[in-house]
Amino acid sequence: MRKLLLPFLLLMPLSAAHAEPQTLTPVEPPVAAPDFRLEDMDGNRYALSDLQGEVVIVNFWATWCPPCREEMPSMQRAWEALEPQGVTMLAINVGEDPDTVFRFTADYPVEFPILFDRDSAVIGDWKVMGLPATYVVDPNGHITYRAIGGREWDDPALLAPVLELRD
Amino acid sequence: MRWPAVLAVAFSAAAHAGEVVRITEPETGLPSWQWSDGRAAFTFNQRLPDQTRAFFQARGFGAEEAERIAQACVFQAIIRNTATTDHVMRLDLAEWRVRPAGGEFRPLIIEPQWQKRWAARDVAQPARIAFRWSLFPTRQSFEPGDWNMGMITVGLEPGATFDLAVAWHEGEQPQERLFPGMVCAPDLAMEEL
Repeated sequence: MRKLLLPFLLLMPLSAAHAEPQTLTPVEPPVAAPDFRLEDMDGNRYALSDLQGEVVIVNFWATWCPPCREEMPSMQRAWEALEPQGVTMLAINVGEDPDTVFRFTADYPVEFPILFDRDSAVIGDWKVMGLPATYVVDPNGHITYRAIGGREWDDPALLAPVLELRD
Repeated sequence: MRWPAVLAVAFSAAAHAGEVVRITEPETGLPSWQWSDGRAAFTFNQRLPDQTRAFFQARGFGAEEAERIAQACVFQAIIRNTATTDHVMRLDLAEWRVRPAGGEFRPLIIEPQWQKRWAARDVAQPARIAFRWSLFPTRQSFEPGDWNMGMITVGLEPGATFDLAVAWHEGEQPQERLFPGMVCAPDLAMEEL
């Protein structure tokens, strides 16, 4: 039986009754996260396998995707809360070039690494169906949670299970 | 094909709790068709052909290819699993049907069909990647709280009226809903000529 995380649903005030619930779906059993080696806007290389031992949030997105844009500010706020606690966040842009993303970040400034999957090979390996899609990788390199569609990532209830994955 | 039977159910009194409502989106002034029963929620926003032309030309499509998409009656679909239990929602756009006014039910044009056209026309890979991720996934599975937004192509001419028959699975249970009287956006650019 899947255990769904709807921690605040029953505690929400009536005024927030129409807000969408913030959920992370456990991946049961956890599956090995496909490795990738991608560059950021400055040409720095990132490999998921180099991050063994860390909790990593992997987000797939594109600048033209409305829910991807909508969740970016909350991802930045989440990053500000998570980075000091040893959680890594990688946002993998699908199919676009650095110039396009550079212009985008003028309106949506973020400090976490943005990587480029220009030929969509990585998103194919991860078997993503739609954007945005976000996965939480545990310190052993296994995908333990996923979220399809945008979220408010700075919601403490959403981040609590992520923080619990740390060793 | 199960749609004749589906229609009988859909036209009968309330196969599901909610009714399809048509609203006008305040930001765009364009119509939107919505339905929800508390476990699943569907929204279909009309898109103008000009919006579609501009979107795809900005992502590497030539004018001719962008025009083909623009003339295919594009809607922005937003689908959510709003269940608070652990029901998984699965859908396959290949099972959806569209019935033009006075016509018979027929399939949508789904993403793999478009990709065959783009391959035959040697459309550049970046444009094809953007197209892949712009359209609503042909097959998708939503856990509670999951949702997605993407385009669907109905395959009718601008201004056409049609019924959209939507199918999905909630857990193992097949579900259907008819969205009657939907309208493809008129091609304002052509009307001005």
